Amino acid sequence: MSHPIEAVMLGAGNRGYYAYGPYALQHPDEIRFIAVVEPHDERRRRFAEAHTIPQERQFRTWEELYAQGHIAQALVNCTLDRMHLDSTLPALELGYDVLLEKPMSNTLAGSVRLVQTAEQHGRLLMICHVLRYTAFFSTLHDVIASGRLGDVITVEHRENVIYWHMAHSFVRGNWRTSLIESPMILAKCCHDMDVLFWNLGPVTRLNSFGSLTHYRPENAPPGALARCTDGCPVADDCPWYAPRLYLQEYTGWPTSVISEDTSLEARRRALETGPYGRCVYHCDNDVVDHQTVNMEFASGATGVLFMHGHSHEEGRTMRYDGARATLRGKFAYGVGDSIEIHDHLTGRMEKIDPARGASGHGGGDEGVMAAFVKALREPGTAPTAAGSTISEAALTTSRESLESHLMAFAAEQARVEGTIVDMDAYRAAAEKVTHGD
Amino acid sequence: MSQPIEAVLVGAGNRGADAYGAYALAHPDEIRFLAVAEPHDVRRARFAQAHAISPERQFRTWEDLLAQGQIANAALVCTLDRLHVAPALAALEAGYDVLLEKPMATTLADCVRLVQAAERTGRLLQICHVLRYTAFFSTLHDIVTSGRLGRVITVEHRENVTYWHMAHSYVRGHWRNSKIESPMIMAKCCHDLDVLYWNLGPCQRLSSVGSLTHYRPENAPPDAPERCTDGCPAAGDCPWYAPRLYLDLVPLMHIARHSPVALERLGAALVLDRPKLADVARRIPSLNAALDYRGWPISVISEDTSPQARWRALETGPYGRCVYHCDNDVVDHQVITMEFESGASGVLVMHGHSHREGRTMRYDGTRATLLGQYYPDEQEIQIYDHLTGQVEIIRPALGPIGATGHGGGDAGLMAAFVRAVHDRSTALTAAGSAVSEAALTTSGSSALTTSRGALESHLMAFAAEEAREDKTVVYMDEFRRRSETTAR
Repeated sequence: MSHPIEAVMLGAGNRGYYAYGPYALQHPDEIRFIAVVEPHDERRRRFAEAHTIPQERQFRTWEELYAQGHIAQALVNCTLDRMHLDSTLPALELGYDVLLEKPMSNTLAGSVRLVQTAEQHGRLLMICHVLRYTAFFSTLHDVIASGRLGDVITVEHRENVIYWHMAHSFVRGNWRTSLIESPMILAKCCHDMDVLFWNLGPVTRLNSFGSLTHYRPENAPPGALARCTDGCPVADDCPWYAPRLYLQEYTGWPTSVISEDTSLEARRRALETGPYGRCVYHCDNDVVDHQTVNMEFASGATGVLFMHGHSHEEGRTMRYDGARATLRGKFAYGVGDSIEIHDHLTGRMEKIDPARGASGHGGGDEGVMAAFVKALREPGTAPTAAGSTISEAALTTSRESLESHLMAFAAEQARVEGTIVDMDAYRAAAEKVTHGD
Repeated sequence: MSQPIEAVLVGAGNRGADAYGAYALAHPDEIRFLAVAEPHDVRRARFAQAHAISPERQFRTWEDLLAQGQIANAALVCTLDRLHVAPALAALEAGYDVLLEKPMATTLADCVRLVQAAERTGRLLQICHVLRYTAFFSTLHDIVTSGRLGRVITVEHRENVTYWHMAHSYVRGHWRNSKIESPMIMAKCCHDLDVLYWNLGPCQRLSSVGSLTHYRPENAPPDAPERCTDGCPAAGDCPWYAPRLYLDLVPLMHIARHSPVALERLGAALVLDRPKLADVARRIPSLNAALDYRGWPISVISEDTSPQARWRALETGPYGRCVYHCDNDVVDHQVITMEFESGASGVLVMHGHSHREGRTMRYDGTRATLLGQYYPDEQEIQIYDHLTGQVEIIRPALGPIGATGHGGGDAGLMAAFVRAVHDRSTALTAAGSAVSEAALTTSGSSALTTSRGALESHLMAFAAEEAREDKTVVYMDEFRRRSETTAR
């Protein structure tokens, strides 16, 4: 490879700094960050220092960046969900190829508009559906595509969020209200919808139930105070007592989120004053703590997705029953991952260690960056609607990525309205919404 | 109990004779059958002989039996699903307390009609929701109601039917056609919906998707003939090849292949992989017994279970038909999603493509997560406490008389029914007036339900079927009201 691709990092928070930034440092011949946009001084400085970005290319806002014109080939957008649309549209219009965190946008119209804009300008818009790039899910996909299970008849896919992760992200934290960010089914399960779509094809109809059942004021134990640190009388009996989670020796995620300074004293202060020390029953949260989505696919298969925040362990579990074999899988971020295939004809079970699966690439974050770089370097094969081409290495074009977003928004509509959503009609309507504005 | 209660049996087939008749033989001090109605001569004679029923009390039809008036305390109605209503209604009217196989009836209106009749006559109408009486599900129920899981937030309950059981019952067999018997969600999952109702309370709304996707002519392998016995070219590659199940007992050997006993594993491997050495495997007594197994589902295809008779049955009867060329119309997979009045969400998955038969479930509560496995040969409950991070593993004991039908549930159900009938007849004599069904809750097992309680699972099944066919969300309050009016 001759020259590394030059890129801009937009949003140097948790994902930007930890998930995608390191790839450039490890592969300086492939991609180099030459500019950063981040309003938070410490985070901007930290990223700029790691990537030796000069002062004049460190920006507080994306408006300042875009005022410079098209200064690099690519842009990696790791801003908060609600900023995705406004920060990505000008980039596509200026000529950037964009890698965008999921969800594309926290509104349906925004998501569709991004896809339409990318197609119109012939730009690559790749969405970070990182699960596709993990050894586990690429192995799973290969097994299904191989026909080894026969026709897939019914699928269960569970996204089990452990009780403390639920509290951290969806009760106390950034994703606690759908008014600020996305509905939880989009924020958490966009990936899962994408996996289902990847493996089973398009959905014909779906419905959904779920609500915020537990993390509400009326479920608070008697005497519980507004903050754990106010001397809560039920601290010992409460799984969510904040110091239990945040004041241990370990200071990585999620502890790193509550305070830039991870000293014990600083963390204690963060719990006393910040959002993460609040009683889980006394937050301004409104996102659901459990939701199920029931789907029928065009293939005739049925599928059910569970998402909930009351698990004893974090991770995704799944079961695929096919006409020839039954598959059971567990994806727990490398800890005890497994795929079992139970063949009906032979009665034999094969256990696959996905870490040694066919795909070979490591974690999904690294895989998605590698694919993005590859797509930019080898413009090639898959034609876009606008007639320009992008590489097949971008496993998901933006149009394909959109499908998981449509499914999530449709599920949310089905849940709120108590209806069945016909996906053909829904897709057609979604496309028109943005043409109108 | 001083005197055994006296009972009549309507329908001496598989369930009547094997599940409930056996209980009477084992507990002659509790219940005695003094009459039987069964159209099939061999079955009628066999049951009459086992229970020493005199010839004048052996009847071909339930009409003949019930024409005698009330000659016993209780009537057990174990006819085919579509034949439940008339004998059960007549028995209630005649004054019998009735034990009725699930499903109560094959139409919603008939189910409601039965409940209305029980309430009007003041008779006991107990539906065989046997799972409530198994050690496994009563333990599960106790855990859920103890509050140990906290408040239950989301539940998954799976009824995994193996590919060969699906083919036997729902493609080739009795329950293959919803015009002949019940929709599969009723036939198979009435129990499961009852467990969900028992543990989580009333359902508020539900929806359902599913279809008959696989067992259809267009999925047949090229050149597959109408019958397996017609020299099917795909026989070697077909999991459903009938002689494989009914003559060679291959699925049973698959189970033996995973046996904890090394010798059984070895024997099963010989039978499966080196059929010429099957005789060697037969020297292992337990494996020999397995190879000579003649119970369900083999007993269903032919009264005479000799290999020759079984082959003939496959050549001529329904069980030798190609699974892709049957007159089946029931679904092979269906999913119901539910929202309960408690706010909990629940999902029931039913399908006929499993490698292993059994129910699995997961309950996520605010304090703990429960995983359950209810397989015929392995039953386990795991409770993962959130606060302590500890796991407790519970292996519920088998039922009162061992691992007979439905994990001990048949026996538990009979014991509870007998006690309730006994207590009621005692109370009736004492008070000289009818005792309402509501008295049930104070006598007998906590698992006993009023017929109205048992109706709830049937309402859920019919509502799910309506939701699936009409592609709608069904609101249960409205559905309950509607069903009550339709029945009148």
